[in-house]
Amino acid sequence: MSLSRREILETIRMTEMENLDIRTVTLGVTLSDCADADLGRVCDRVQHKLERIAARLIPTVNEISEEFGMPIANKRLALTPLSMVGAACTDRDYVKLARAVDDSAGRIGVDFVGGFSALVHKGMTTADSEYFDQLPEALAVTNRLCGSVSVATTRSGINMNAIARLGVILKDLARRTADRDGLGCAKFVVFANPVEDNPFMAGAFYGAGEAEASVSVGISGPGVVAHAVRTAGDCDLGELAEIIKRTAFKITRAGELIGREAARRLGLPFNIIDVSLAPTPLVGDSVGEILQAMGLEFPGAHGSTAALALLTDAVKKGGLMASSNVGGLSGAFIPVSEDHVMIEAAANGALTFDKLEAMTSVCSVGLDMVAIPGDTPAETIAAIIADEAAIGVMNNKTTAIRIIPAPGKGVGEMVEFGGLLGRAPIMAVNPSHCHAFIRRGGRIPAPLHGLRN
Amino acid sequence: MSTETLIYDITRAVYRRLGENASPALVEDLVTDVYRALQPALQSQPPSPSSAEVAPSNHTRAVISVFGNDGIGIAATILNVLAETKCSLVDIDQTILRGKFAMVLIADTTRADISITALKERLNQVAEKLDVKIYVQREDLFHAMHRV
Repeated sequence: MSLSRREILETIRMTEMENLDIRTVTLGVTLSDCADADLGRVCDRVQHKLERIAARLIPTVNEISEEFGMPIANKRLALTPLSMVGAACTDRDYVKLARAVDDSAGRIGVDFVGGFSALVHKGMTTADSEYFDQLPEALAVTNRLCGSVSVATTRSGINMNAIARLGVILKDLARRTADRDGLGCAKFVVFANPVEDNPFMAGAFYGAGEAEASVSVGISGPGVVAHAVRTAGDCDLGELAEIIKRTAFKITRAGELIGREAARRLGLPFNIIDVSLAPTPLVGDSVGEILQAMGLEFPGAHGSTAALALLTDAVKKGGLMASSNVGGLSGAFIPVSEDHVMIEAAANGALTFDKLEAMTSVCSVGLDMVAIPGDTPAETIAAIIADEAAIGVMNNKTTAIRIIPAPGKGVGEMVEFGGLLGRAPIMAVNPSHCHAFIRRGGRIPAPLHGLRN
Repeated sequence: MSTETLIYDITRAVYRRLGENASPALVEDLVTDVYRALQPALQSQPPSPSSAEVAPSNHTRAVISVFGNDGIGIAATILNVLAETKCSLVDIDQTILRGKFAMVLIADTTRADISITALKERLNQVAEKLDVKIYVQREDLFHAMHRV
């Protein structure tokens, strides 16, 4: 036989028992050509364009999933940052634009649509400022729409004025969705060094340098890596890195094949494959389990940063070897609420907020799905964002903050989002004041290595 | 056409001429002779992109994996579905693993009158009756994952 029985069984085991899936097929669509002075006309154009380009997205992806016997968990859209799309309007009603996009997403049948976004890492336009004012309402009244803001890059530094406003905005967004434990904040990401082709939510948007429309895929599979690490037994860490690389190689190849097939059938260019170990609350689909299999009692134990560094790097290397189209965030995600081991570690005290922040300096994203007390001051939230942005800017990496100040809840209590978003124990934050620092505002200059011309 | 498909087709033609009662040894000799006679001509052709060993196979081939409790007529029932739907068998590997039935087939659906998705539905119906689990997946997935 041209394929061995062992190879066939391995592939089936990955999809059936280890939760290997294509996490998302994300269709990126440029909307800059929909701009107009009249907002009503912009909404019409946006809806018309999305519903034309994405008309066959859902049936096509379902067909491919059946043929390959590979689950495809989500179908999503990523759009040109909407702050730009609405900038030319005389009446910048971003809430109306948000509703129009959300309605279209519902009719198309996608799970999420990303791109209620603004890029303000150096400064803010008048349109961006109006977008900021309307952000909490727009995300509170829509279902599928996700938003993101870029507040810092290695080349431009850190926009502390925008960050100070986001501290207040996040509290407002949590308050508006208080009946769902502040769920609105789970649909919003603050970025340093964002990538323009990320297919994962809530931070997906479609950058200005991208093609008219294209197809990207995000492939996950922490269960597959956990199995490989457990099976490796008592080997040293160099050997473990090799094993993780080989595993990442295989899942990347599967993802690329399926992504290219989706793009071909939709008649669009294939963009990138994002190889990210993205956990879900299911047992056997956890990045925390990988750290445990590597020899740590819980994520958060001393050694967690080193273990995560090895893991993220090996995943990236395996992916790069497998495909020239690896992009997006690629690496390992460490959301708290979406990973049963991370939830347990945060609840039993093994994983503290400070250790989590340290781990984000080597994971592929950042502080993700972290619940903090509802009475945390806006300035403290802004300072948390500033710290995380500083890690990204100084280390030339993407960092993100998706943090939920859970209304009316305190340390020791849980927030429940359900589904893929899971549940999270409220983590304690440092109570010392940082108000005076945040009120200074301004811009933290770009670091020396940002000037690489 | 892959080597496996060619040998399979020659074997079928020989059986058709000689009838079901032909001795397996004779059939094997004839098939080997015919294949050897054809081989020089095959080698002078440019390598076929669908050749299973060298490149990802085309998207019409499916890997059908069957696992479950051993019973009477599992292979026969599944092969019958393939015959009814005009899928040609490219390769087959069957064994009993620790008392469990395990069979992997590679089928070509080029001449079939149904799609891989429809074949999957047909096989899932018989799987229930046979008390086995059947997976149907495009073959190129396995080549992508396990061949560089």
